[in-house]
Amino acid sequence: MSSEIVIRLTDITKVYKTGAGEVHALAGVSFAVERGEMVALMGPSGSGKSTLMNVLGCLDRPTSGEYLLEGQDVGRMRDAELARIRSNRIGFVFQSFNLLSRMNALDNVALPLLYSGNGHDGRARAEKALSEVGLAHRASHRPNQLSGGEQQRVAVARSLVNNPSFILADEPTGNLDTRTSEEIMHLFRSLQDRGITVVVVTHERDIAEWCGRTIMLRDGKLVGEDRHPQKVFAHEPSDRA
Amino acid sequence: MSPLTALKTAYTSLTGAKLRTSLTILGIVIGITSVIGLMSVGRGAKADITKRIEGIGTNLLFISPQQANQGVARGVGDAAALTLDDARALADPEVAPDVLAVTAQVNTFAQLIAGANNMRAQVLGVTPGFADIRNYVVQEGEFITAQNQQSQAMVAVIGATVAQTLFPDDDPLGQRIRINNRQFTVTGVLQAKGGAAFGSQDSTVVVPLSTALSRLQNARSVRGSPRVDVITIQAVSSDAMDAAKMQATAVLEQEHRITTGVSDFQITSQQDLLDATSQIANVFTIVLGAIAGISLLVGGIGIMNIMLVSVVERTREIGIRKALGAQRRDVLVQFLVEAMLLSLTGGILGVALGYAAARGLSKLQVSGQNLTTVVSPDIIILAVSVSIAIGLFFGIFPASRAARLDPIECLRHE
Ligand SMILES: Nc1ncnc2c1ncn2[C@@H]1O[C@H](COP(=O)(O)OP(=O)(O)O)[C@@H](O)[C@H]1O
Ligand SMILES: [Mg+2]
Repeated sequence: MSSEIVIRLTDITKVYKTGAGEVHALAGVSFAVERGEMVALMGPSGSGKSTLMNVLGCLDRPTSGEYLLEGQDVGRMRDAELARIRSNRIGFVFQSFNLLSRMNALDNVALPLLYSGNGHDGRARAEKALSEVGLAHRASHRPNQLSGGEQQRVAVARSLVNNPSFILADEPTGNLDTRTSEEIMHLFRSLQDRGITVVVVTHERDIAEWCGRTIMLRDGKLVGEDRHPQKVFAHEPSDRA
Repeated sequence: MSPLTALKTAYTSLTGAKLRTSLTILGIVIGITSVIGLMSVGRGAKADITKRIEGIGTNLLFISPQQANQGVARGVGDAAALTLDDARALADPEVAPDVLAVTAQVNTFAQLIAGANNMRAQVLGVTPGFADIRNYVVQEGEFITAQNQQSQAMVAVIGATVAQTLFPDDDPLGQRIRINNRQFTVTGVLQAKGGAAFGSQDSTVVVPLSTALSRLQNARSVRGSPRVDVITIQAVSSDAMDAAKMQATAVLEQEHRITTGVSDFQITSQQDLLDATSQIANVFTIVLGAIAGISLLVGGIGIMNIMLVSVVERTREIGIRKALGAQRRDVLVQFLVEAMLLSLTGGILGVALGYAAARGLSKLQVSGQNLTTVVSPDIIILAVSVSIAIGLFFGIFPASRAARLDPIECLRHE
């Protein structure tokens, strides 16, 4: 009842105009995410997951509908304002990690601080975020010196560094093996336990099971919503290199 | 993003592709080097000419006859003449108080023969005061004396090159020399001064004016006084130049009975000469700089080219940075700083290399003389500013292209 809404989408549509006509990638999507929730967005290919993610991540504006982020209407903002929202409120985790190869782990984690104005105690913040994902000892390693799981953990640390309103993870385990995938999902779970909101886009039911709620998307519409018990870690967390 | 961070980021990404970065910088280095090298030659030429004109003497005004193109037709032989009487009139301190000294001269070319050696040279008939006014320094013997002038003595003072050509092995002093088949005795040798071979005092022979007038040429004006080619006046000070010029004009107009306002003489100051030659030298410098500027332009296009390639290659990086909150401005600044770092590095290296090139060029012999090159601070400041401007100009297009990219498209880019 006193729960706080982080994301509230109301009747969101997204229409792409192409040569062959209009594509209704999102055809009226409404849902809300509370603070501290871990939500999975599922759907088959072409169902509009990426489009929805771009809207949620403030990389794109919906054609119509309302998007309130912590009560603030972000659906009609200009590019510069959207960039500021991304910088301060959203933590991105990508399928292919998207670390900058020329920088070491610590600098990658510190990268969002360049743009958020939180740079004054940047090094300390980045070190803290890196130790939160258990990689303090890899701070000076370049991405190509890290395993896939480690790279993704660096990316998670990077998503945390500006204390975002929520973390938006796009197929975060898509490039990882099963065991490493579980470690990453476990990491998200531990973030959730600390009160951090996480939205995971995935097409794998196994991954969705780690979340407390699954939102099903098909043809740009919400076709189902399922609250379920969250999976727990099957193995002891290891410090595998 | 703070400027320092921007610089660090640019440095990191530039050192990430060392060969490409070096080659791009090389384009600017070559451009700036040639700008500095060539402009140093232009500036050197100007400095050289200035030095020579200043070396002629101090506070000088040169009076020469001028053919009147308009006005009353004159009798043949009277056209534009300066006479010895004019020089005497100018020397009167009553009418021309700002004139310190006056000397008149006639100029001819003559065949010189000494023993088996011969050459053609400029022969000046001058008054004794000439040496002081025109900075002619005698190395050996003495200059034309008042006594020589009085007696129309057949004596000659010869320039260093003349001495070397006619008397390669002997001391020229006291030797005989034939000038236009008249016998003269060498009574002095001038100190070598250097300068262009043609018309320099090193290849000049000086004889008394009286001797030149009676033995080497025979021209009198209708007024009866012997004709001279140039009258040189020295003003009492540099501030008195204008006054001296006005007094000289008044004296000569009176002497020549000019009432129409169209004078038959022309007074040129040393400053006029300096101004005219500096202007030519400046044009010369600008033309050289512009030619070198073309290579700089090519270097700039090289930067733009590499930056455009870099933007394409780093599309994904741009997408990541934008997703993480980079504003357009941040991306713009990042690429602009890279372009400017490239061009500025090239500029600084180019200044160093251009300086070295200028020193190298000054070792070059041109008509028996070292080329003068001058690298002045203003050229260096110009070169560095131009290189910064090139970075800005050629960097702005790739940078703004990067800044405008759509983060979603960029993140999809492989
Ligand atoms: N930029 C675009 N221009 C035109 N159509 C697009 C664009 N992006 C996505 N679509 C279309 O919108 C629909 C949803 O796509 P998408 O959101 O990528 O689905 P998913 O990520 O679930 O596979 C698809 O039919 C796709 O072809
Ligand atoms: Mg997709």
